[in-house]
Amino acid sequence: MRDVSYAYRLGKPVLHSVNLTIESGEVLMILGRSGAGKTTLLKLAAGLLKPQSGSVIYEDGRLEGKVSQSIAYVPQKIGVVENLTVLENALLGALGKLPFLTQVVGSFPKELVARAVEVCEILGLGEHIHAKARELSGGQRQRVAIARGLVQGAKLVLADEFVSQLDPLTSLEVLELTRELKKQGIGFAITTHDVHFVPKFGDKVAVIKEGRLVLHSNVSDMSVEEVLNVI
Amino acid sequence: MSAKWRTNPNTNLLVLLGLTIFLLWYFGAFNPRTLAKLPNVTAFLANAFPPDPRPTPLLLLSMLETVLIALAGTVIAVLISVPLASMSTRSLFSTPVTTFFRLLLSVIRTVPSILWALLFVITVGLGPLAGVLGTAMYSIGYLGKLLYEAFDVVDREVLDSVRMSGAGKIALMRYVVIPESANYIISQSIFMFEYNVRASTILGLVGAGGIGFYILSYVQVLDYRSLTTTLLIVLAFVVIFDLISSRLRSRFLPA
Repeated sequence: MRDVSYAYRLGKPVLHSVNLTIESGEVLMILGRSGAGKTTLLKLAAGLLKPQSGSVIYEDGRLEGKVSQSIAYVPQKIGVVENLTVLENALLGALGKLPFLTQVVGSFPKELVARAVEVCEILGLGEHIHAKARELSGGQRQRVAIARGLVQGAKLVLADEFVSQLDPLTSLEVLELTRELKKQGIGFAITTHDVHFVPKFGDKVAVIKEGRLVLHSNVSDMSVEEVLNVI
Repeated sequence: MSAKWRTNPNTNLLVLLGLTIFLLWYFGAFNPRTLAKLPNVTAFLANAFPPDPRPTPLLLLSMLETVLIALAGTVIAVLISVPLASMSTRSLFSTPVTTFFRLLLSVIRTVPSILWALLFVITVGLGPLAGVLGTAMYSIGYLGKLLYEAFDVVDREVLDSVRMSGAGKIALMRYVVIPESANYIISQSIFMFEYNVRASTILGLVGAGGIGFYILSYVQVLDYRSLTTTLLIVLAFVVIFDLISSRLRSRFLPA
C-alpha cells in the first residue's frame, strides 16, 4: 500500500497516507484501538474498497476496488455460509476457477472436490465435511474460512479480528495453523486487540492510531511493552 | 399537552368511538331506509340455517380444487419471485437495476389476485388455469418484496469474503444469499400458500375456478342453506391450513 488514504462517504478520513507492505510467508499483526482503521485497512488491502488517494499493489498489479483470487479475506464475523456444509463452504473458494455456467450449476470438477477434501483434512475438519457450518464451534468455523482461502489458492490471507471471538485455547490452535501455512509461502495479515499474540505468532507488527500507521517493525525488534506504549 | 392527550386511554377510546360512529353515519348506516332493512338480517339467518349437507361432496371437491389453485400459484410464484427478488437486492446489483425490479414487483403487487384472475379469464378463458395464473401473479409481487427485504440483510461481510474467490453475482446469489435466507424463503412461501388458500376461495366469482363459483351461484339462486355449508367448509379448510402453516413456519423461523 502506497500513501493510501480513505474516508467513508460524508465521514472523516479513516486512514491517512498509509504505507505498508505484506510479504508472502510472513505473519503481520495489525494492532490498534477500536475505530483506529484496522478493518478499513484490510478491506483496502483486499481490494474491497477503493482508496481515495494512493495505490494498493499486489504482485505488481494494482487492485484498488478489484479483488484478486490470490487474496482471501476472513471478516470479523468469520464469513462462512451457515446453511452450507463444511465441504461446500471450502468449495466456494474454487468458484473463480469455474466457467460461468458451471459456477451457476454448481458442478465442481472431481479434482477440485478432492483438493477441498484434502484441505479440510489438513485443517482438522475431515470428520465434519458434511456437517453444516452452523453446527460447528467458533474455532472450526475459522478453519472453514481458512479452508476456503486455501482452496481459492490464496497466497495472502487477510483476517479481521481473527481470534477475538474464540476462547484462549482455541485461539492458540487457530494461530498455530498460521505457522504451518506460512511454511507453504502463505502470508497473513491479522488484526487483533491482543498484543500478547504478537511475539509468539507475528513476524512483523504494525500499529494504526487514529488512521495513521505509527509503527511498522519486525517483531523481534520490539518488546510487548514497547508496542503497548505506541498503541 | 399533546403527550398527555395521547397517553390518556379513556380519551383515545372516546375518540375512536366517535370516529367509528361518524364513519357509520357517513356511509349511511343510520339512514332510515337502511334501518328499515334490519329485519332482513334475521330473515337471512333463518333461511341460512340449518346448513344443507347434500352438496358437501361436491363442495369438498371444489375446495380441493381451490387448494390446488393456491398451491400451483404459490409454487409458480416462488420460482419466479426468487430471481426477481435477487435482481432487487441492493448488496449485489446497482441502484438502477434494483430500482427497476423493485418497481416491477410493486406494479405486479398493486393489482389484487382477483383482478389478475379476471384478466387471465379474458386471455386464457374460464377455469382454474386463470385462477392459478392470477394467484401466481399477485404472489410474485408480494413474495418478491418479502424476499428482497430478507436478501438485503444478508451479511455483507460473508458476501465480501466469498466475492474474493472470484464468484460472480449469480454465484453469490446461488451460494450465499439464497442459502443464508433459505429458512425465510420457506417460511414466507408457506405463509403465501396459506394466504392464497384464503384468497383463492373468491376466484370463482370471476370464473377462475374453485369454490367461489358455488358461493356466487348459491347467492344468485338464494340458496342460503347451501351457502352456509359452503362457508363452513371454507372456514374449516382455512382454519386447518392456518394451523398447519403456523406449525410449519415456526420450524423455519428463529426462536
